[in-house]
Amino acid sequence: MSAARDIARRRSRLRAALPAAGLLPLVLWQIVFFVVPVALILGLSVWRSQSYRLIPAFTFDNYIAIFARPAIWRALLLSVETAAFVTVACAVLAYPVAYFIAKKAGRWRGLLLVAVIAPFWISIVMRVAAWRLLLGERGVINQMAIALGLTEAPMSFLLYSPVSTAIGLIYAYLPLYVLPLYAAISNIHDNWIDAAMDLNASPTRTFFEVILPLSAPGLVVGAVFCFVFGLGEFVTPALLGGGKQLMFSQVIQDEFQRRLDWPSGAAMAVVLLVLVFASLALSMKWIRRASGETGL
Amino acid sequence: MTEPVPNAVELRAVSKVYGASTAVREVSMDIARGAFVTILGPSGCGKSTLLRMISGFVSPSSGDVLIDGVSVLGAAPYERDTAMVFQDYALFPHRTVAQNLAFGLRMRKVAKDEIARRVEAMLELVNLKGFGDRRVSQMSGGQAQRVALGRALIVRPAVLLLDEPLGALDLKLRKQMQAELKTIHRDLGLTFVAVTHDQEEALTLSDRIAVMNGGALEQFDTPENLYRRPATRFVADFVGNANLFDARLGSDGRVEAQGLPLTLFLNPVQRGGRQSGAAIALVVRPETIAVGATAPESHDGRVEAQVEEIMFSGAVQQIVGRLPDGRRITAHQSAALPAPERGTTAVFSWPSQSVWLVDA
Repeated sequence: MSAARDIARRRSRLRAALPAAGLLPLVLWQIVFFVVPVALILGLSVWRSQSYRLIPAFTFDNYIAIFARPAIWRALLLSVETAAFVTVACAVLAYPVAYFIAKKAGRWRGLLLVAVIAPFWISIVMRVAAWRLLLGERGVINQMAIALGLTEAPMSFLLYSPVSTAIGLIYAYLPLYVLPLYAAISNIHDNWIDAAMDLNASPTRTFFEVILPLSAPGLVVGAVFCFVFGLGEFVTPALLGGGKQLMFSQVIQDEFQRRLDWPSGAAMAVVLLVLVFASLALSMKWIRRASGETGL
Repeated sequence: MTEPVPNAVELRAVSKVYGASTAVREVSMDIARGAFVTILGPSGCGKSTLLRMISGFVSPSSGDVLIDGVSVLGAAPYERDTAMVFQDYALFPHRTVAQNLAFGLRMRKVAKDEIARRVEAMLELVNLKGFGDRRVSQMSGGQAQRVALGRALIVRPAVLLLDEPLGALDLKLRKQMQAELKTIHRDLGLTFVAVTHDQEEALTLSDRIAVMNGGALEQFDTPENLYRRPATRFVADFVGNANLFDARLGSDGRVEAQGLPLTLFLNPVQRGGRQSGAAIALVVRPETIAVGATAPESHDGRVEAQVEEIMFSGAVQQIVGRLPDGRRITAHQSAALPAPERGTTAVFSWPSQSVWLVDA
């Protein structure tokens, strides 16, 4: 009797495990390409490096050392500043686009959405290279500005500067901001907007009282995309940044490839990772509050 | 001399044309202060467009809309003293019940302590005391309906507009809300304009009903007049049940029905100044018809028909007869009376005073 019960229990456990088995490929993928590398980096960050050789250890010297180097501080600050600026700029630029597609585009909606996504079909390197043609000293923008008499000498700050990095990043991340915003805004019923107007809210008040608060989930998700990607971005600053003012990701690469100080580079990577997770945790809190109650 | 009180709403020959189709055709209507008016009609008759022209979301192609005696054609929805109860309630999902109620007052820049006081009073009025801090997503259909009503009522608008207000509720809740709506209207003395396709709801709720069809106003009258003295064939057919018989008006009030052995004599009030020879339709309400082996002495309208169907529905039984030419005649009579056998031939009869005429 107890044997029969055992079989039944085993069978029901098996039945419960079956749907979970479908997740296995994903779990494996995450373990191989995320958990293991992160664990390696974490482990490496507490080792020591001596004359380009790795020495197993358990020390926080690497962390202390990177915070003692002002150049690294500057790179981290530049990364955070750039990511924040790019996020705000993307939000401001993406909002009208997303609003138009969600509320005003009518039958053009599908086409416009495809147009927003279309740049993703081209490699990021090619897209960034295109900006070099536009922003360079003999680039399209400078040539035009000179032809129109707006400036006498070409504007050299346009390329190989934090400005060009920011422009490249805004361009690259704009679709990432438009899509979640579009989703949030198309969830706002026209009747809610009408109801606000009907209760004597001017169009401006309606925007700030109803439309903007209800767009908050999209604003937060878009901001997370832009900020997190911007923080760790490597390709764009490497190709457009010019190498005079390094971003944090470039410093990490430098540490690994030029200085060959892997433990120090790993420690920097961990700092970046912590920063990313902190901003993710913060945004989760925002989302929860945005979908919850706001003050009277 | 005192100024006459202006009507809450006046529509002056308003029309709305969308491309090639006319949604509303030359509708004129005066809605007195404190009235409960229902705009009734089948879907697509233009009743919602009419409501949205009062609220300002639709601007008329021609004609004028006046609120409290002043033309509001140039005024946006947020500049008009109207408040709407939306069909799907349109409650703000990111705000609590109390915040939803407070919204209109905040927009009208009412003082904070007064807002708190009026929100509390409104929660009580719509039977939601203690629900102020709930989120609107936690409300049931009936509760959401009350929040929507309260949110519009709280600003004490010159006109409260209700777009199919009870359409989403189940029958029992609808009946209950109808009664509450009527009580609130009486207690507050505000002007209510509702839109519905449910004729029973219109008859129950309103002082006056505007029946619309194909964008045009068919009749604007009291529920009783609509039922007893319909102005058009559409109204006779749409409001309540009616047996309609095409007929021609003869001299001296003599009426002969087409295709039936039926002759009636109608008085001048019923004839309504129509010339003899006019094509008309006789409106015979089912509850005025008696069914039996013989007709009572006073019933001068009588036709023989084969009893085809008897439907029992509590107090009333509905008897459907088949006339010799194949058309149907419906009678409602008290279930206390004996019912004829199905398949037998019976006399369906009614007094000619109970008949009404409409143009064919």
